[in-house]
Amino acid sequence: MKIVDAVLAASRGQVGTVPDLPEPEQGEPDVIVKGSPA
Amino acid sequence: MKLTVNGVEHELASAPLTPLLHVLRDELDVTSPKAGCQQGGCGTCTVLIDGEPRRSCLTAVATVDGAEITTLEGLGEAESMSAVQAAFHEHYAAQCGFCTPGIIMAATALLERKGGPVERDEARRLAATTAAAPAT
Repeated sequence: MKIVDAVLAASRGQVGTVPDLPEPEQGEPDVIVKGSPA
Repeated sequence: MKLTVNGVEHELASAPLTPLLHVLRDELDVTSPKAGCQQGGCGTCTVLIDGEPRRSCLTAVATVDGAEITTLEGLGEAESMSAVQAAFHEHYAAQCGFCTPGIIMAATALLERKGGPVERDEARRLAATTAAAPAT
């Protein structure tokens, strides 16, 4: 289960560098995520 | 009443019995705690109150006057995630994302309490509180 795997990894310090969101490719909309959708 | 939310002190205008959840979302525009079941069952409204995980939907704001509140916004930024946030990202553990803030706050509190590696059963029990999937 992915939540369990994530919690175990965090507790063991097995967390790598998270890359930033990919840049939009040509023709794709430039989406700005701000705040929460809910 | 005053609250310190993610390190910033706020003077509140809400009525004393207003749930902390609504103070955060509606008065302070802190929207990571979600209004899910609103009866303390689902955990998506979980925040840290003076470091302890609590259901903000069941917490009257007057009972936490002067407390320090930490929400998901206080853990990290997109460029500098906390270890738990980064692990959820790496393991694709967000699912639809609605209840993820509450799960991450509960996981953060669990790991701070343990101060070291947790066992799989402990992580499974935490995950089981989300009702998002069976803890298999």
